[in-house]
Amino acid sequence: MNALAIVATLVAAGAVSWLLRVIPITLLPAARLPAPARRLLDHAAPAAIAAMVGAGIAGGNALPELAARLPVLLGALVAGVIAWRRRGLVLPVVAGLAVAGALTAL
Amino acid sequence: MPTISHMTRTTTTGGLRAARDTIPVALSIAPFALVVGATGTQLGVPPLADMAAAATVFAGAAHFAPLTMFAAGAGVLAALGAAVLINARLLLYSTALEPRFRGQPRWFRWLGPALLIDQTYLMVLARDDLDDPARFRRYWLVGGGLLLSSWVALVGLGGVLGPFLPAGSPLDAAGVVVLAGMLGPRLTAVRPLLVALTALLVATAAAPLPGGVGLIAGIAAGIAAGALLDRVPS
Repeated sequence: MNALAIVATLVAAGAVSWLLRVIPITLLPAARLPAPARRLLDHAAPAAIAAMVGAGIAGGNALPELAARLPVLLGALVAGVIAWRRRGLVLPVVAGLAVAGALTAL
Repeated sequence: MPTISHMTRTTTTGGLRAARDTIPVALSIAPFALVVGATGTQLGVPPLADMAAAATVFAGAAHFAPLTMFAAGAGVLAALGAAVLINARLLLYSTALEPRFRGQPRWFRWLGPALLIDQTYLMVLARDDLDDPARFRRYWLVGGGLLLSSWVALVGLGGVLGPFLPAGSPLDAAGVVVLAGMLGPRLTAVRPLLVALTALLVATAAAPLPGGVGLIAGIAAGIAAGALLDRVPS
């Protein structure tokens, strides 16, 4: 994929994101979204981020080949648990990277 | 009627409070911004172009997902679809904040929402002194504006530093670790935990599929699990 296509995709994502931000405020004010749709939207963020974590851990490898990705898996686990226990992103990221880096170096 | 000195004080304190609230938030997003910038450079995107994209998308995960999907060989539609799904939560945030925008000038109602992200949403929720429309507007523009400029600058910095990273730098690990750090605080109840677990397992198992299909399958499976759980009485 060339750089122009990547930037164009990102700009398109930005345009759609702006619509998502502005529609309930300016075009279709609040509370008109059906309750089932709201609940589905509620699930979208954790599902999307978790799927990205899963895809990142696998790194394109099939399940039997995941042993090589153990440092990434454990780094992600450490970061996730620390972030769950205490808010903020700096400490979880530093700790997760330290674990992933140390295990990779071993 | 408010006096000029009262209005000045309100404006100043609103801006100062926003700046004070924003600094730790900007620090917390720094690692992710650097990773996004460095990943963009690895894919051949010039830092300035990536900064422009960062200003347009202004959402870390929705910016990062297409980059990682392109790196894995995904097509444009799959990458765009993932970004839109990730940002679908913005509909909820803007729905929740609509009353704050109701009495605002037209320009602010159209342009102000561009600063809506998880962090600005949470910053506003945490304050109980923003009932005055002018104060809310000032707080939103200063806080969101600072966060946007920090994000764009840090993505650019990551893009500039990216080529100087030593070979074998665990950028892929950094991206996953940052995402896991963003996921952790969302898992405060059983339902989002099961949704996330389903999405993670399906995306991991389906990772070898071409074109980013595995990621989309994971997201769809997670949302489907959530829909099923919604039918179960709590």
